[in-house]
Amino acid sequence: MALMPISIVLLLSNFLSSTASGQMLQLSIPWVPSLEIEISLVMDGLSMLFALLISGIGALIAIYAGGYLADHPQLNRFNLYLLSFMLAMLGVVLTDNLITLFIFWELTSITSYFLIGFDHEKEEARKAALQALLVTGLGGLAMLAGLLILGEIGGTLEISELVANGVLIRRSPLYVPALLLILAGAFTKSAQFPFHFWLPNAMAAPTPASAYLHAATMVKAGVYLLARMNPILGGTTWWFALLSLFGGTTMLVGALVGIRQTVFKRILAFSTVSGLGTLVMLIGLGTDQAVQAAMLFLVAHALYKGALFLVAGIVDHQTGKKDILQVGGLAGALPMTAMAAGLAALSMGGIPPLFGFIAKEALYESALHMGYFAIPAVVAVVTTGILYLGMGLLVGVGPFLGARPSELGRVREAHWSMWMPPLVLAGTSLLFGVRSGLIEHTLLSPAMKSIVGYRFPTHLGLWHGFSFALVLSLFSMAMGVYVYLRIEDIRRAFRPFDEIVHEFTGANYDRCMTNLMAFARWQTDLLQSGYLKNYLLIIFASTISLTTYTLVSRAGSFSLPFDLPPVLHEVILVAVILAATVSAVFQKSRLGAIATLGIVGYGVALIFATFGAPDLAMTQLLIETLTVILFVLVLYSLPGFTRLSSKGHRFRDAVISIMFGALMTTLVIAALDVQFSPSISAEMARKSYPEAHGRNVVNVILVDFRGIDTMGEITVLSLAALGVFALMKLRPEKEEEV
Amino acid sequence: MGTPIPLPIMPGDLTAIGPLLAVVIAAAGFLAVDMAFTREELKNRWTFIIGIIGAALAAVTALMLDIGTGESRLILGEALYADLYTVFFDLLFALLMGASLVLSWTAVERARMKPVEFYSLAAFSFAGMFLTSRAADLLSLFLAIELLSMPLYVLAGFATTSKTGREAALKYFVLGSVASAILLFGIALMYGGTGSIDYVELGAQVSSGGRDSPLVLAGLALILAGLAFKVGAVPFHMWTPDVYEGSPTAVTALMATGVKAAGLAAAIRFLAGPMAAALSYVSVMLWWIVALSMVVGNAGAMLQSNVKRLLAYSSIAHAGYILMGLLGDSLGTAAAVYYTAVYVLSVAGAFGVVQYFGDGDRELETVDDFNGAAKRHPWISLLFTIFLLSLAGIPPTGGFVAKFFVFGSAIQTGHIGLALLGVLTSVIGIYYYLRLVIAMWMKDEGRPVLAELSPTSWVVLGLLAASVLALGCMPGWLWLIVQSAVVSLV
Repeated sequence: MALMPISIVLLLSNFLSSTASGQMLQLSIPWVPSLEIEISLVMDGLSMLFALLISGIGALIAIYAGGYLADHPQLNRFNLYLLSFMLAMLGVVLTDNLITLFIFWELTSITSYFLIGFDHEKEEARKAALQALLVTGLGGLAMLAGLLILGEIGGTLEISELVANGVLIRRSPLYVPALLLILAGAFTKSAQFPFHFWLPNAMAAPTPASAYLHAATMVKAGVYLLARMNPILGGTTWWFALLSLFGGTTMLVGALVGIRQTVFKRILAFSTVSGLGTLVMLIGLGTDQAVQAAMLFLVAHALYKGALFLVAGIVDHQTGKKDILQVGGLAGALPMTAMAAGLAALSMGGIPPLFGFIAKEALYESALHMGYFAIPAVVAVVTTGILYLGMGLLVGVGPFLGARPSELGRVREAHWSMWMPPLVLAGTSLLFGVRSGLIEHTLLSPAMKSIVGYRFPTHLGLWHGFSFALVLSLFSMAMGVYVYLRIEDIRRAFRPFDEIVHEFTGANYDRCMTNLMAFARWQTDLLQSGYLKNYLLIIFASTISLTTYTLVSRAGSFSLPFDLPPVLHEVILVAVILAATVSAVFQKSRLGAIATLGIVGYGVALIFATFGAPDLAMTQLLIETLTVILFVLVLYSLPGFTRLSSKGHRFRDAVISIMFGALMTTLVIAALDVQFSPSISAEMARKSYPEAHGRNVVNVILVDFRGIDTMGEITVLSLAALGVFALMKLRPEKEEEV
Repeated sequence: MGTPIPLPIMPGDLTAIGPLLAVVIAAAGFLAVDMAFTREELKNRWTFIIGIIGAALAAVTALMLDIGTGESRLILGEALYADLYTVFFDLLFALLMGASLVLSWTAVERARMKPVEFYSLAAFSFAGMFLTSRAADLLSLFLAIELLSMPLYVLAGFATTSKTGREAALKYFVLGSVASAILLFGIALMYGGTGSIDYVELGAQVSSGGRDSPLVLAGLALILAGLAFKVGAVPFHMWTPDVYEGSPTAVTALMATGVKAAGLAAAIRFLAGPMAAALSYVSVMLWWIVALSMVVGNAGAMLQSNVKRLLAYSSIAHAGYILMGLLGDSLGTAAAVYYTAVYVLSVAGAFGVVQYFGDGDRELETVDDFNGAAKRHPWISLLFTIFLLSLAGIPPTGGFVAKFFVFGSAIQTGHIGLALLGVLTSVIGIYYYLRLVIAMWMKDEGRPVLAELSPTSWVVLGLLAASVLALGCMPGWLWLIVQSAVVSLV
């Protein structure tokens, strides 16, 4: 299982010399050429650093999972998910194209969804998995929109080419929207306050997955993106303000909430949140020192946090306890684990000679050089440093010292495959601490060059002479030990803080979900009442408003032609039709309504007659008679009207009907104005006798010129009559109400 | 009128409507089979054979069309088009017809319908669909839409004995008639404003100032409303949840795939073709239709526990995403066509799978009914998952690429707000589609029963899933085809 990540590590190390010298290796395969989407891989210092972390820690995690899940029936499935996740994560850091970056980004969300929900019999695990997916998925999609805008203003989707257009992009009016959207993606993925709540909940995942995803790799994808975007989007006030504000807040909140947790993985989760905040803040500060501190902290954090997670997993696996208060004195039973835990905890607390110390020194140093912001920055980072040591001691030292609770029973050291990976990680912390030169020029400084765009001198080491940072360091170490000793009081004191944070974050997520559901219910109730009449109402109302809006906003002036002065009998006819229409609406019985509608029809027929269209009048009379008879035949057996709607509803319906009628009438009158071609009546009259040998023009048109039309009409009418007849025959069989 | 008017049929016209003829002949064949045989199994066997031959013939004749240099050709007295666009949709509909024959058979029999009756009605509806993409004037458009709708009105209420089923059929019929009336009124106004129903002539008039005529604008708005009804876009969508749920599943599958695609084929051809110059005048209207469809469809789907209703609501949302493409330039139109194809393939697959679950007469109805499906039937659950992921727009499926194309074109043409709304609502989509995935893979308690799948069904479902994945992993080739197909619209 571990072979694949190891071979990736070996493969990567081939390129180490090129990236160390600041080169950028590229490889691109066209994917959707017409849209400039390519699978282009790029390897520079930053990619190399992340890729080595991903595959190196991945190899250790794979070994560890083999021991941790040895009895689990679905170990293979876990390995499959883990490998897919690793490949997706490598894709994120190795791609040069914004779109493929997004695809890999979402793939990490999806695979992590399966990893978090791995113990899917637990409701809690399923819920946490979905929460993590929705939060990071939402951020990811927002990021996609941001990346597309970025591609639009930058003129290309290749990151390496965008770097050249940085100035142009930062001046674009779309810069701020693009920035906000991309930050939404980075902040949700890297669990920044107030989106951090999914990370502690995601601890429902099996511990190897937590160690890998939630400490070492996936949550750092957001940090990677920010680092990658720094040459393109960075350097502006917006960038500085947003990143340092969100990052700084997250750093403090994570540490303050974390210190009073008692469950192993929750302490680690909150301290990870805090660590991610530190990284985001450092990238936001953007000075050379801050970037250097960020890269140091990134590596240090991955090493000690990964180790501590794995230690927590061993304690859980060997004792069945997940709470630090339930364990103690385990050093004798778990000697190797205890050694790894101790080293990692000291690195986390920033104790020399571990690598964490170098990272912390750099952090303090960069805070001190912040000019106006130096004082708040120093207070924040020192507070965090103190709490880190406290948390490190709580997780990595406390459980192994002191008296052993009697209910623990016999505890045996874990299989080597479990204690070896954390020991390697913790040992690396020590190695890099003592010999920081090992990674300084090969990995760290090329990565920094990718972020800021130029190479600057670095000098890492445990001893920098007496400086203010060293004083701060000593102070925070002392305070950290003090915090650890007085932890009971601190837990009590910070209790209200927890709830405030929850109120701002996790509770907001719950509220959002509830509100979304309520909104969904409201709109469904409103639109989907199930009543046909309401559907019709909505359709008519929408049609009216859409058409009217289009006309009012766009069309030129209307001219409604009323050139003929009305004559008395026309006025009377129209009055009769109108009266019949109104009375049809108010009729209490179906027969009455049909009869009054009949009057309307005959009125129309008379109008045809007065305007010199006797044939139309005739047809209209016949059709109208037939319709009334059909209606009567069909409807006479139905029950009388029942009052189903209130006065208000009727009024509303009336308004809609009148508006629809008015709109249609206006349009029809407007259509009267249009004259395309000369009237065809003269042509018809001229051809009637010579071509069809008939003197009655109307007859000739009906049976000869338009013979097929007439036949069609006859057919339709007969079919309708047949249908009605058939329905009437069926009636006795269908007694049931439809 | 003394001289006889020659029938406006040119040589080659018949090849160009080959797919249409193949389906109509198949429909006639179904009727003949119904009369010729008395034994049910003979009827069934011949129905299947004729149906498959008809679908295959439709596909083959579609491919036989000489599209020349890519210019649209007018055929049959300038009533219909023949070009790459029609070939594209012909193939899609032929595929759907084949898939319906293979995948819906079980559901048809389960709903106590006779296959021969179901498929003869369906074939007439398919004939209407084949017409929608090639309509070259407004009357052809109207005829096509009526031809595809009428058999469905019958089918929706055909075999239902339940009260909800009959209610659904009645609603579908009444609302559908109203929509047709609105569409017809719009066509009349359009004619009133321009004196023509020809797409070519309409396009010329509209781009030379005709779009300022109030009649043309009102006509366009009304036609848009009528078409929005057919594709199930908000606020003309209310029929979809009720009708999708109430109709037999085989009919619902037809509505969600064929009818929707046909409505879209017609809408895209009409709006991106002759109305291209006037589209900016109704863009506000289109904007609201798109935005509301995405919000209402997705929010509605969130609440549903009934799978058919869930898919109905989500189909409203997809109509919104597809129409979003029309707000963009020609890339957007191509994106809309691409999305239509991906949507149709995914939904055909999803309904194909749903139709097989259930025992005896009962189908699986709710999301919870699918609990534990993966444990008992892992392969079909895997296929279902692929279709659902595609509908949710998750890479590496075609659904993601389609969404990407659509959002990308919206952003490029300045509709950033709409694209963002699309993104936000997609997350809701992920939520409810994953509920089904969770039910299948992560819950163990249920034991859903699966009807037996014939080897052909496996082949068809596998092909659908493979194409959905192919459209996600290698979108280049189809994207090129779609782009050239869209060029011929203008």
